[in-house]
Amino acid sequence: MSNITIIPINANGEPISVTLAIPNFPQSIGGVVWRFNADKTFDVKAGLFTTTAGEVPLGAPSVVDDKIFLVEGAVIHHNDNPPTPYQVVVTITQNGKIIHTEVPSENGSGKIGTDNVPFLYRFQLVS
Amino acid sequence: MKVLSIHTQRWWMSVLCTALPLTVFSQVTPEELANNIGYSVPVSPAFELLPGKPSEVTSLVTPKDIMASVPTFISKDRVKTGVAADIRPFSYLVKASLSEYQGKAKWKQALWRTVLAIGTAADPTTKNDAFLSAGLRTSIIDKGDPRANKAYTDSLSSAYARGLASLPPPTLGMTLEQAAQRAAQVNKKGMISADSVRKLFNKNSWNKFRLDMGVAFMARAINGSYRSDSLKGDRWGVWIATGIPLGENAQFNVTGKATHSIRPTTEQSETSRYVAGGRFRIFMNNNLAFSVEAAQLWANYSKSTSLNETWTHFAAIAELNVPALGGWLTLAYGGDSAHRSHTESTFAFSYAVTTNRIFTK
Repeated sequence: MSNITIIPINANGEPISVTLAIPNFPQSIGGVVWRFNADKTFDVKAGLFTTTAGEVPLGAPSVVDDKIFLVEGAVIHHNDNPPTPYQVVVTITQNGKIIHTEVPSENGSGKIGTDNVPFLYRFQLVS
Repeated sequence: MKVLSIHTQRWWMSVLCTALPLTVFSQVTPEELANNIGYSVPVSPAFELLPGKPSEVTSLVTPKDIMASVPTFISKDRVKTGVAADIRPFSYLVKASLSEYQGKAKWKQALWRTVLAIGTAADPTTKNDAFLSAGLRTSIIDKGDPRANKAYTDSLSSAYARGLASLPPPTLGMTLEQAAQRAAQVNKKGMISADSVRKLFNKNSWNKFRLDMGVAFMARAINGSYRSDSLKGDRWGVWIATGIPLGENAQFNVTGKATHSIRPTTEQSETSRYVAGGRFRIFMNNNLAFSVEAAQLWANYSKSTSLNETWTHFAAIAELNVPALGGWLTLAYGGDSAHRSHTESTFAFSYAVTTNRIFTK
């Protein structure tokens, strides 16, 4: 299994959200953010994201402390021939400030042609 | 649109059966007649200039791909023949998200759609020389660009997210392979199938206005060497084509093409060819389509202008689905007018019964 990125949060701060976007390439994305307990058992579906609604609210620090999130998404193909590049950027914000930004290591960047390309990203919020 | 009644179809069949034996027929099939001119810009203009089209084209995307492909094209100081690659050269320069792409900066769309292709081929006459051809193709305007349609891209994205959300939750340790399997299930599980969204879009956008352009240049590598003093310009070409919608079921195409040979070898070598033409197509319903086209062609010989010639191409084609015949009955009238190199050319009738239709939206 790929590493889980540990992201420190302010326990007394405002709610946290994650945003999925492809800022530098005209590509579409869609997917789901799943929430897991610290013991890695499934908890709840945190929310859906699309190209135009890329932000998923995760909740207040007291709720998400120690929770692990799995971003399961895909870059949606537009029948590109020849294929085109993409790069997914995950951004986690609290108090309106970016506390972490990263390109997922599992298919977070690459090329897309005539099939959707799934990507994965895991992170844990720790106060 | 109405489908022809059985009685009407039988009447037409009886008329045809009576008339066809009395008609002068062409050796050219309706499909050949329809494909003679080509009313769109070639997918890869570079390959149109090569003596033989490459059988396999490598798609390059990232700078790493480009670096890795260099040994494919050259070896020591020689050009390797029979290789080809294409790439979107501006994909890293556009720097636009999808919403920016769908905004007012239409030039970003044109840059993104631009494809550069490079191909090589051995000169079939000298054996030692090689041809190196490069070409660009772009859709300057494409009202049917799926990526530029916000409603469509939103539908696809939402359909995918909803489909994924309807699947059982994954395990935290899910692998990319497992993610790919789940992605494959999404279209089946989604409330709106992404495939049906795509099919609907294609159905509704087949004849949207578009303006395409292509340019290509081919050099001869003397003795296969790619050194600058061994590369000689050999041929260039320019293509422009537009598709204009006429309602939901018809389209008018206009095209212009020019190819020019920089170094004609003999007096009989054609130095340039120009084509200008138009085509009207209408799909009456799923079973009946008509096409009428006309084009003028000019072939010039700079070393012997007396060989210059011009001729007219014309074709009128009707395509009818006849289940009793097990496919499509295609009736055509047309051909090329007589000209110096083809004095026997004439307009004539032809027909064919085929499993697959010639015209597609």
